[in-house]
Amino acid sequence: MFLAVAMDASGIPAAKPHYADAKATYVTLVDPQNALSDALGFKVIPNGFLIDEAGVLQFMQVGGFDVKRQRSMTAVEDFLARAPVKAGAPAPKAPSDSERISQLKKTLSGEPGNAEAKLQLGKVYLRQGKPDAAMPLLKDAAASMAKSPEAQFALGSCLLAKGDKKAGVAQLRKALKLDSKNYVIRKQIWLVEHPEKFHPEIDWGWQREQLRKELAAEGGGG
Amino acid sequence: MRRATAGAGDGSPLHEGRAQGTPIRSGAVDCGMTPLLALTAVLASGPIEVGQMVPDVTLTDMDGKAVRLSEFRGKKVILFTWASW
Repeated sequence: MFLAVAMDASGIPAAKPHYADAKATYVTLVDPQNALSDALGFKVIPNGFLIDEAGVLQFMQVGGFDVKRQRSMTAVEDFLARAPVKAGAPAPKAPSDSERISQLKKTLSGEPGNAEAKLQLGKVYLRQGKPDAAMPLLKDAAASMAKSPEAQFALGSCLLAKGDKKAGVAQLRKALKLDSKNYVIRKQIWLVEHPEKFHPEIDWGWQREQLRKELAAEGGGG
Repeated sequence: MRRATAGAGDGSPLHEGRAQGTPIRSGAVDCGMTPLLALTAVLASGPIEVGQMVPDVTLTDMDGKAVRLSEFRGKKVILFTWASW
């Protein structure tokens, strides 16, 4: 089973044309809120995660995963050749959206100031395409969790979803300042600010120069 | 999908990385990275390790429907992350 996940803050509209161009016959997903990068801890792409039948991670390549490369292909071939893993005890499953919303609302009814609950509820609404419902929750969460790149990124994504590019980028920059090595955030800012450098072709020379400039400005060297 | 891998060999720290896991054959982890790339790879490492259960993350399909990774249990999964940028 091949799953492709687009890490695009702009969501389905950004990813869909590329899946169409690729005539994708595999499972095509999108992760506009970086839920996967938060859960697995990656800050660059492209990545490959090989997960067995029991849901256990058997191999990962963070950065540079490309099935056209021998290194990546060898890992995939070896993984697929392995004997199937027998199912063990059922692994815990995440609650459905409706269960999650119900849980988080219950938490917030008892603890109206619970910023983490607001953040998570806002992210569920945002993923469901309800930025208006998400906005007040994410604003509160970002204000209460000023040191959380996740909270700042979520609010930035919500602002972008509502079409407020200027405020959205400013918020993404707050997230990047808190997590300056996070290229998933950094490059999404570039895409919003300089779409012409990404469509119809990616300007890799521009990206290298932009990265050099930004790292120098941040005092991180190049 | 072309964009997801384009430029992977250009030496950019944005596209190099590290490998971890048993299926890979010898020499795969030593991928000849420069110190800068190696540093980037270390910084890119996250909390999950090979051998751990993958969290049941909820994603979205192209129709806007929520999809949980747990829905694919019982199958070998090759999870590939990319972006249009």
